[in-house]
Amino acid sequence: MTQFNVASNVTDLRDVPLSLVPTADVDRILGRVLPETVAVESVSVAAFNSSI
Amino acid sequence: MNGPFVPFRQFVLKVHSRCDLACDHCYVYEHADQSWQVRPKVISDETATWSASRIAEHVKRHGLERVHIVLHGGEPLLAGRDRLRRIIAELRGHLDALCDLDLRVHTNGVLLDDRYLDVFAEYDVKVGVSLDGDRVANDRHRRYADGRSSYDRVIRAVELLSRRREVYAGLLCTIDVANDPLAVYRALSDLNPPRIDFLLPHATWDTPPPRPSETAYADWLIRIFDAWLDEGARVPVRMFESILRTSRGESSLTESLGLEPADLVVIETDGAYEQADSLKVAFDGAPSTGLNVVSDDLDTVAAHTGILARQQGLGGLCDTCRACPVVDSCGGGLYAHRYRTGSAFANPSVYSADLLKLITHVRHRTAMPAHALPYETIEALACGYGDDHDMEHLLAGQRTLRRGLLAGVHAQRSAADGWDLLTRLDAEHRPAVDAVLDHPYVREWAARCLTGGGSPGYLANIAAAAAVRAGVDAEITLQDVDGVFHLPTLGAFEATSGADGRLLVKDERFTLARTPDAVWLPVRKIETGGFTVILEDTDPHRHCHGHLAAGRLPEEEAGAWQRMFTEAWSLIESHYPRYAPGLRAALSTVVPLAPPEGGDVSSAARHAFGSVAIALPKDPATLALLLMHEFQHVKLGAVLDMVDLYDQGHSGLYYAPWRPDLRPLEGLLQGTYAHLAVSDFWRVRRDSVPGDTEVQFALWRKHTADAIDSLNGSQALTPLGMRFVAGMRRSVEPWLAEPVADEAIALAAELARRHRAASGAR
Repeated sequence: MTQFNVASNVTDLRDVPLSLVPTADVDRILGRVLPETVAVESVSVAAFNSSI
Repeated sequence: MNGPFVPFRQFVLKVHSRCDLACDHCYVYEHADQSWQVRPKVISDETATWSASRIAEHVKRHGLERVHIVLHGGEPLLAGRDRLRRIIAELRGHLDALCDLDLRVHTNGVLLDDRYLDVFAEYDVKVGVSLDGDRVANDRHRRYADGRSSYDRVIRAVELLSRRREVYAGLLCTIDVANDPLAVYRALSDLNPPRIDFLLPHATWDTPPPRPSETAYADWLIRIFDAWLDEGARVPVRMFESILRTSRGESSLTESLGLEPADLVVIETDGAYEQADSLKVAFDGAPSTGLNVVSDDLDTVAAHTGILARQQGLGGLCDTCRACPVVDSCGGGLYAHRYRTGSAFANPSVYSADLLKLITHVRHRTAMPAHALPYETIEALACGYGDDHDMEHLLAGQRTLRRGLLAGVHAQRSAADGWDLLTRLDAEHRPAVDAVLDHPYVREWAARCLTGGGSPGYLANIAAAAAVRAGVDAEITLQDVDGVFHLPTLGAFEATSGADGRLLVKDERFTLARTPDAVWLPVRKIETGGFTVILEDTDPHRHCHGHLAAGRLPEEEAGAWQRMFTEAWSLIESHYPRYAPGLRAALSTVVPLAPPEGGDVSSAARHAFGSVAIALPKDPATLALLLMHEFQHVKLGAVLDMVDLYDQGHSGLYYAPWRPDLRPLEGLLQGTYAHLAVSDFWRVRRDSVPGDTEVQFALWRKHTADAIDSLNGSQALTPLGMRFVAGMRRSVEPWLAEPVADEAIALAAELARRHRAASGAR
């Protein structure tokens, strides 16, 4: 039997290692369940290749 | 070349132009550009001061909130401790008052000792070290001029850094595909650095890299990526993180990937501004700008055509790259790697085949679906029920939310210790981690942290509980919250004043290492007919229900809960069988509330999925009613967490027959859904217990039906919300037709009229 689904905008993170949970997904979750906390977008640096 | 002005935010300050190693793959000395030969060996104090003031001038002019400076070489430690201290102090002195300064040094490590580290710690300078893997891999290139190995000295430096993690940035590894990729990866990850990056060796189309097969570099990296992912990505790898981030439309973490405009400039030991020094591999003089800190400000450098060329994003790439499906991650690769005599940089990277294969592989392996709720589940829940299969969908969504919120808390610094342990356990003992994260009040704690009210350090308690469950030895300091060192799902140690929360987990036993006589309050459980729930009376985050939670229950009260729960559950299973499967599948926890002055109190909390809070009522039937009522809130909250049933921007307030005040639309929806079950409870109950039950049924079916009409009339429901409310209506409609004594109907109508009148609603 065909099962029709209502898609959410929440990425399934159950099999994503905690250390790899994407920032965008954290923001999306915060937007859903704690909308008052959605932070100003952080800017990451495409850092100099020859240092870490 | 037109585009918005891009100020520099990254500065590479060359503090020494020579090196004490003679690595044969070094881009500074072994490639086309030989300008190092005419540079001063070491930067002068005057040039350092000019550099600091030019950067400060740039920061002020463009209002930059954060800049990054890397002390680089050659080998920067050859500048000596005293000179480095002066340079660092100069930079901090010019910039700390203006912006957030991220200061780093990158070294080969052979001179690094605690005295250098003292200087770096004093000025908050993070240290990165170059290490190409295990001894065999490292010694293939990283040797002294006389051929001696550098490996032992570098490992000693890394061990020093491991003990001073506050200044440890990570390890950089230059790839040689002749090395065993997994041996390299394991050698690096076993050192447990904060971050690793793998660098493609600098090369151009004129001087291509050694290439035993067409995609040798991709194949080498893919073997590491697969191992890294399978092991839970325990140690961050900048290249892999950047591919994952850019695949989601986020920014890259390295200039070698992604489409971000270059915002980096190099200042050489003589004060000369240069472009990215990887350009040294292209041709002699390639990085040169002809500008200098003494005579030119940084805006002048930013207008240099070479700098502007690396700020064009997609528009700066060749046709082949622009048409590539992975261009948003690859970004054409490192600018220098595109060089070919004749066409200059208008080419794909010399590693383009590798990057295409690697990025495609990473995307394929990490493609992530979104949660979805089957329509059948929506329908079952809308009617007020939902079985174990339906609960699986809600549980799945909640697990995702908790993991996402935990990652959000991780950003708070005091959570670092717990995070390290938890991510390690997450990689190797996922079921134990899931069992702890599924505890309802983990999300409540995370929500408090993210709204500024919680203790991020409690992440250590969560990690410790997972370690105990996994049977993994660990030692970690627990956070005292409200007078207990709580271990979610396990219990709590009473924390006396000044108690030390250092927890030792060993051989599947755990104890407070320095307070071995601390009182342990194990988690209580109540069980009936194979259905077990936690009777939560120690978790400090259970105080979120709007009513006073009971303290640790005396044994006799715990016994009373067990007896009444057994009878209540028996009633639910026998008389309300459509509610039982959902409860059994997703109700994990009951929080005892303190006895109220009069009447019954109960509550559900949006962040505590799976838990209800109840003051032990006078009889099992009331407990059954309260369980059913509150679990409706739990179910609907989980649906709302996943999908939108109403317009979040709607600000209307509505009469709710169970409240003295007007309610927002979500409050009305929640209450109506809960009273669907309340109506059903009294509908069935009146058959067993005549009398007031008839009035209760008449009252609540009317209230619920009226509230459904209000919801429909709000014009703020989404199409899915309308469908959901229609399901509620389908349940209540047949109840409205059920015969009820006229006196009960009249009394219910009078009670309803009085409530509405008292509320002031029209």
